[in-house]
Amino acid sequence: MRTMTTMSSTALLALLLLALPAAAQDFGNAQEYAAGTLQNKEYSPYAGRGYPTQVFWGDTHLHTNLSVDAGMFGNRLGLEEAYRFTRGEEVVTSHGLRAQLSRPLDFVVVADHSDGYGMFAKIVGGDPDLMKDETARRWNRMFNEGGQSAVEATLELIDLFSKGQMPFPINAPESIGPVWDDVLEAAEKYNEPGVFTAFIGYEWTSLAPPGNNLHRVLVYRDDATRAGQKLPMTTETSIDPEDLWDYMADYEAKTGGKVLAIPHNGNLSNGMMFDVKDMDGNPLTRAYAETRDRWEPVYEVTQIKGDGEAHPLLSPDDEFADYETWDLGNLNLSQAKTEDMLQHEYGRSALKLGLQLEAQLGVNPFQFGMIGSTDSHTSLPAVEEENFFGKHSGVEPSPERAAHVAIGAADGSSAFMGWDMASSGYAAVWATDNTRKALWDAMMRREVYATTGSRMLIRFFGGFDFTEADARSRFPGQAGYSKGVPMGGELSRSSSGAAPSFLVAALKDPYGGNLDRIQIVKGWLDSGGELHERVYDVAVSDDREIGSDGRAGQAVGNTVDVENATWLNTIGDPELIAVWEDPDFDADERAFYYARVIEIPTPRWTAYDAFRFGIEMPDDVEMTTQERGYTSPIWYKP
Amino acid sequence: MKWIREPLVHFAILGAILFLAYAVASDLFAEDQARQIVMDESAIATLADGWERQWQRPPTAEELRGIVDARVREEVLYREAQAMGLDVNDIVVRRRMVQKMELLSQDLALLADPTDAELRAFFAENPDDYQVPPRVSFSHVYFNIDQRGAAARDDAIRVLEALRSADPQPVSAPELGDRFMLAYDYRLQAPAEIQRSFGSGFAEDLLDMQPGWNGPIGSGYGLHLVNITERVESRAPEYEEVRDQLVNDFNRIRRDRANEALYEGLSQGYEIEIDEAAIEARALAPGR
Repeated sequence: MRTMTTMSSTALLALLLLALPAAAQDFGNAQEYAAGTLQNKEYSPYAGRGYPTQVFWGDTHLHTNLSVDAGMFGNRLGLEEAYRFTRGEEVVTSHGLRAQLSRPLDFVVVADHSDGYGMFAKIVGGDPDLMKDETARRWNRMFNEGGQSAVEATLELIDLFSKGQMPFPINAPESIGPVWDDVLEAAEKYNEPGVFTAFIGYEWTSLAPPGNNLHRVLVYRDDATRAGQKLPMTTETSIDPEDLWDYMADYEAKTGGKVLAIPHNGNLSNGMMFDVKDMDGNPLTRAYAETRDRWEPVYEVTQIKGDGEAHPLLSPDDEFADYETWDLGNLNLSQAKTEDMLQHEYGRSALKLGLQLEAQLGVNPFQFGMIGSTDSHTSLPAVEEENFFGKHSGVEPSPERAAHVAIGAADGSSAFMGWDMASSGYAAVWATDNTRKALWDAMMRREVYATTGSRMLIRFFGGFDFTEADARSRFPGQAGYSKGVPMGGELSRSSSGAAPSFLVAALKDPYGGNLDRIQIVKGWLDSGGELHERVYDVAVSDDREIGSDGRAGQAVGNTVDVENATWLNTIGDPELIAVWEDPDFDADERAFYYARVIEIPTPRWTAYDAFRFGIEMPDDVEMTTQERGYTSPIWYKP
Repeated sequence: MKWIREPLVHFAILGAILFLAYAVASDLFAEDQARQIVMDESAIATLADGWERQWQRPPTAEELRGIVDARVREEVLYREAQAMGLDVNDIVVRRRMVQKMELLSQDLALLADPTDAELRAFFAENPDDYQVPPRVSFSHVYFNIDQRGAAARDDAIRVLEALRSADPQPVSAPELGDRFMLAYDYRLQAPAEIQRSFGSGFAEDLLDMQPGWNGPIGSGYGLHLVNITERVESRAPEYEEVRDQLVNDFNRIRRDRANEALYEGLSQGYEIEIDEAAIEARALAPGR
């Protein structure tokens, strides 16, 4: 602003002067902008930028009626409907409702359970081979009777399935093969490079006794010619993730293809998802850490069955930690949760444990990026609060769904209710274009972030040279990539041992609420081997002050009219940006940093349900939400 | 006689012939077949092929004998069960047969790939579904309402007037407004892409604009002045461009219609009574 002599045109100068009185804020670094143009030897400042300039939105975890449990809960929509809905077309749901997304998604992984792939249709349809089994015949009869009988059959099936006690084989190659063929064919049909990415994938459904969730979604970079050369792995082969990684290595060796795995729902693993022991109870080894790090670059940290970024008991000083928390027990509620399990279940805590393991083993097994996804079993990745179609077809929008039991313990001792469902989340991927290869490569380098359903834009860079001016830059991305590493990257000790600085920026979802704040969450391992975490507010809306403790004392406020399910964007900011330097840095301590961006309060899906169906929700049901995004961390390695 | 050319009619007739032929053939051979089970070369080849496809190798002699024996055993028991009338009033059998009926009509509908003539006709009937969307190149100047408050609109209008009279145009007009985190210049964007970045109201407004500076218009972020630099109007595509999509859509609609037509035709032969009052009485009261 103050160096207008470098402007390239007198007309621009005049216009700048004209606009000047109106600009209450700094205009940004005009000098850099103009100078950059000349230095680049290109007239256009936009030319020659090879870094990712676009965020692509998607769901890496969508089930259709090919999943046993989806079918049991009444999902009648298959692959075609799932792809058409994700691409933005209107479809009719299993319950006959018309449904459409506010905006199309850019990519999807249809990830049906390989265990019992297509099995439900066979039970219901009375597959002749299957009907030789007495239980299958009985279930077949119960499903076809419908109503309560069908529900009972469903519960029996889930119970036996989760205990690994299915009375008949469900994973024989001859039953899985044809289903895999259909999945490959549909993905090829709907994959349209540059416009829409239909990844090939499936979910490996490992439940460790007595029902602890170790599920992984496999995502292929390849087309059907490669992916079709090897059938999906089921838990018939193994429930041990190490065997899954062997299988993946075998796939790559055999086909020359590429595949990655995304674990999810550590919150229902009863301490096993990020355990510091392997499944046989042995301490983790360097080989384990290398293997896990190779195959599992990202973790699905938020979805309908709860948000897994942080837990209030692990992070008592973090007032935002108790968000859509599902902590009653494991996946089938056969075992209650105890406090000691939590540290091995939540993303932030796992990232911390990773630092400790890295110090011991030389490799960090938990160096993962973060994404969100739906895990919807309705064939519909619909997790906008005002357009939420539920976990499964039994809880599609209806006056009763909120008070429905979503998952109940067999003995009735505890239950996740319909209203506990989180309308969450989506995966955001920074990539150069919308193709399987570009998106997959971005996941591999962890240049991804999670949101709880909002499509907010988040930039996050770490380096040693960021200055305040970068926060005023007209091209934060350019500054970010030229001076630092993006989310998912690593920093090593600078020559001077200086503290790292971070450039972080967020822009609201054009359809959503304004932004409340950007935070940076730091975790570190001190010289005594102790783990720590701390949350800093780095940019807050509405000119609130950030105190010397690094926190804004004042909450953003609340404009939600719960009764009418509306809100106003009169509080919060449409965009926030900051450069932040770690004030408590010790160059010898390994650490990670990630950004958490929080929206102002908006109505939760329960408020829309209450309004639209004219029903009362119990007092303890949350009716407002603060949508949020979690970036992949940047790690500091001394 | 336009209906004569209607593909659906062809399928219906073809279907009727197939049904009839199947019925006659089954009756004719029913007696003989009841006491004869032949596993000939072609039947065995089918079983062997199925095995190979699933296990990715041919079966051993022992394995093949095993599946042939199993097939024979199944056939014997199936025929005996049928003879005893075990399929009557079995809900499982009922559902299964309904499913097969539907599959049969779908198979009929998809017997042959659609011809170019059919696809061209379908294309001609539904031109709107295949219209190539318009594309627009534009740059924009952003005014942050949150920071400028009520002055934002006046600021925008003032800059707009200046831009309209500026000659030559400034190198980087976006600098006259506030920093914007997405991008300042957009090339050949389809409506869906604009909507994705800025919201639906903005996209609609923008598509109505003429080349040159326009605005201010609102988005989910604030106000914008928009310079339309290029417009490629919406157009009807050439047949070859959309042929794949036509095949998908034609087949989907053909399948749905075949199911509907089959049911419509069959249900005509029944007198159906539904107690509407009972539906009202048993259903949930409508929410607001």
